[in-house]
Amino acid sequence: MIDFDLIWNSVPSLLQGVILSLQISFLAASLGLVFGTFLALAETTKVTPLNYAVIAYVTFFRGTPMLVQILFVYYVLPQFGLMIPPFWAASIAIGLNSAAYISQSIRSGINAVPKGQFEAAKTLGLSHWTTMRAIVLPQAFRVALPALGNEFITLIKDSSLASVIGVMELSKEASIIRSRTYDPFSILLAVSFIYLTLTGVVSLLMNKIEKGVKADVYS
Amino acid sequence: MNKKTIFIALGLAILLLFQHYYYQVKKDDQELIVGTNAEFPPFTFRSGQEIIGFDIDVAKEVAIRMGREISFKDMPFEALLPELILNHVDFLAAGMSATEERAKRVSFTKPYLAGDPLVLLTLADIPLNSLEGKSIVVNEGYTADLYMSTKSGFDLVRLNAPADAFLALKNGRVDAFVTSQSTVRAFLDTQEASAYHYIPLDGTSETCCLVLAKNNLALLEEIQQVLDEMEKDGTLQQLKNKWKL
Repeated sequence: MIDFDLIWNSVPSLLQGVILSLQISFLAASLGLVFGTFLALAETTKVTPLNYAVIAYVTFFRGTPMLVQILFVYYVLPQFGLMIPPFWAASIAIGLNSAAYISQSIRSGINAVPKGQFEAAKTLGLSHWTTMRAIVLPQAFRVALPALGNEFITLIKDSSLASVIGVMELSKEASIIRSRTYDPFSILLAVSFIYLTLTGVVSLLMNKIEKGVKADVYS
Repeated sequence: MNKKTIFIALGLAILLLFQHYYYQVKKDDQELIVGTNAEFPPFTFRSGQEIIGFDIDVAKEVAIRMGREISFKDMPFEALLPELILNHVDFLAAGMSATEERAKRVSFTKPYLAGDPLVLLTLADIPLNSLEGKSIVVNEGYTADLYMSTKSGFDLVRLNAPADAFLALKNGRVDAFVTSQSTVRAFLDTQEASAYHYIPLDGTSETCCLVLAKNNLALLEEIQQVLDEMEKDGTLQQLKNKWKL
């Protein structure tokens, strides 16, 4: 039932798909991390309208399926004159979705920093933003690190959703091979193995980073 | 609620799940179960809750002549082949076309439809010789995809169902959609037809075959015989006329 010749012959096109999958994941992760941090900062300020705006954003992006969000960016935005190429449409949609989740991880990190540190910083005459940048965020990131690792792994798997708008990432390459050969199992096996390798590498990296920052603090 | 009740409730819930599984895999030998992906008018699509279309009618007629009951299982395209190979369905009727590569893994009946040319559908009336640099959508795995994949010079986008492709064309996402003439006609029936232009591509044709598991030679032979009869006595032609093919 498993056709190893077919798997072997498919390696070049699958690898092309891997490159695209990684590009989408990387772009989405960068967007998610930067935007998510801003969202977390906005949610932890004392400016009420800003707080509500973030809550609305997070509710929307967490409460609708990513698949629908990608289709929305691809099919609906052109109606309003916004034509984003498929690759970018997918990366942006996945990135915006990820920002919602990342903002919550970082917010919980910010909340984990003892209140005394804010007060101490204030007594020293540091401004709100300096306190955040120099004292709170570095600690918040450390607390949020395991959650961020989870999010990056999820991102790699979610990049497969870009296939619905025709982006030739890994799972799309696989389904094209399936549609040519009518062999449903072999390529599925190969693709699972590739995704597992990708997510495995990311989780190893995240473990390394986690250990690194811990040693930094306690030694 | 005490612990005992919770355990009993959980046990019942699990049993219910298994019962669902049991009925899914249980197969009545008298009944032909046919897999299809009802997203391809006029071959196989849904009208309300009912699955209808040319392929569906062909499959139904085959079942009647074999003296068997028939039921359809509608599923995504990528689920059709595993279901066939795992023997959860007897055959597939989903406008599928035979190729050498595919015939290594499944069996095809002879085509019961041919001579339905591929056409290039556009909004801007692009002539065939100026496709350079244009972006063209096809449905993944269909004849148009296989045909256009052998050509180059344009950007080929592969989407899953005709509805997605039409939407991409309408939104200006792509410049043209290549698919079978009958698919275009079925679509234009629902649209302001004068806004669209279509040109047939010479020497192309969509073909439809029923697809069976590789080892199921007895059933293949039986079905092929019935299809041949239907061809001979004009039933197939009647069905083609009914669906304007």
